[in-house]
Amino acid sequence: MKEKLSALMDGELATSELDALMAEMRRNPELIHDWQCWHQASDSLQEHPLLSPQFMTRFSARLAAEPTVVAPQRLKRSSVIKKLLVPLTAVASIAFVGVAVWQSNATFNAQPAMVAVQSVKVSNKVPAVRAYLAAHSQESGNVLAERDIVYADFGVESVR
Amino acid sequence: MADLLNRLRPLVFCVSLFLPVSAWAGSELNNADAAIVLNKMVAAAKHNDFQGLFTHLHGDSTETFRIVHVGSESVEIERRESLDGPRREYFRKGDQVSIYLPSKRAVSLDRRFSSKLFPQHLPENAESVLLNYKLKRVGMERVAGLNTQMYELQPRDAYRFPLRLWMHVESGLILKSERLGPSSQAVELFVFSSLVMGKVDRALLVPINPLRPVVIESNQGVASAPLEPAWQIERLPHGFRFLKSIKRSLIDKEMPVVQHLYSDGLVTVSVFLEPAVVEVKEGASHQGAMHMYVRQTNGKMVTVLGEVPPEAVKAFALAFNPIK
Repeated sequence: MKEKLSALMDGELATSELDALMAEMRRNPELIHDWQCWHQASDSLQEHPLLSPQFMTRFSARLAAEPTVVAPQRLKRSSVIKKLLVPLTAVASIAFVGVAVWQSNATFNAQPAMVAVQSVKVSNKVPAVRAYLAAHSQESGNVLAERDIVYADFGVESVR
Repeated sequence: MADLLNRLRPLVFCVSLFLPVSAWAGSELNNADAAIVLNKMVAAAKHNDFQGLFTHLHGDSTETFRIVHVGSESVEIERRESLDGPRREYFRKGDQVSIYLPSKRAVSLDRRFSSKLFPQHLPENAESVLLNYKLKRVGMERVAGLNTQMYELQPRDAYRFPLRLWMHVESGLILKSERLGPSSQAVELFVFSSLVMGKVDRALLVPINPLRPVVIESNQGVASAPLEPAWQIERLPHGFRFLKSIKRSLIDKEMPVVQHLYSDGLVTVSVFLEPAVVEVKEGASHQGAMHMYVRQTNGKMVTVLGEVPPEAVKAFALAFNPIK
């Protein structure tokens, strides 16, 4: 059982074995003691600050004493500013989109029509593409890069 | 008072969201200032002594290189070696380049225009870049522990992709360079992970692999369309210069094909000319930023390839028409 506990600590225990180990830990306080000792040892090895003795006991007691909050209370009434904020942000984003659209109109009007590249891959790859790519990369610069490998998987697509 | 400020905080936050947008838009440099910045980058990569490690990301591959550069003496000396994958090495002394590559294929390099390597990848005549791109100052960022000013070269037309450059504030050296592709995605990145400026250890300049010399071409390209028998070439995409034409045989092809190279200084496009191939489909295709366009007319085929937008490869393909 200790081997399994050690595996759990290393995060290597199979999920299927987790429930059995947990049940065993509940039955056998010695395992829990081991679990805490090992963690203390690893914490001191990693120079984590050590907690006060019986921290776990006191923490559990205080947690049990804490009242259960079923629904968190609404603390603030909504302010006028917040009510205003929604229409304001809406106006701002509409204005922003307007500016963006206007800007893109201004810049892209002069450009040639976009070529529609359909991104549906055709299953049969043309091997010749590779030859063209190799010839292109051999001439176009970076001699040290392994470009042939980079472009080995060049998908062929068709244009409408 | 404090309560009022607290209530206003969301409003201030909303307004502040819009501020970076306006800051982004308002930092374009005029041509004279842009030329000064680009020339500073070119000069810094040439005249400084430095050694460092940089990473090259391209497609799915990531590779790290060591670079040692001496520029403060009468002759520039530079050595690069790949640290992962197959061994590759590059050594340059002035205009003499020798390299070590695992394959034995012949290599020729065009040192002035198209075969320039990071962080010296801008063309020597940096102003020519400004004919096709405008330079914008974007912001400050830290790269390899150094402060950099970030710039973006934005295309003036739809025929090319933007390039971002991070310039070391003190020296002007480019510490990071990112090529953007379709929908502003990064497609190629060079970035220094460590860099030491100043005197380098001479021992680091000694090659470690058996190098062989490489033929160096010095080609500035011509602006006019080239002459090609059997082809009429007109209305090439604006801003690309013709570099050279090569007749080469490709794998799986009986006939040699003619390859034309065009460049705008930052990106190179290949045009392949050959007789029509029945089974080849016409149209566009791409992987990342690499776009291809195939067109067949009158028994001839044009294949265009390059890291340029689909509009550019299509425009190139349409510029080539066989003479009947």
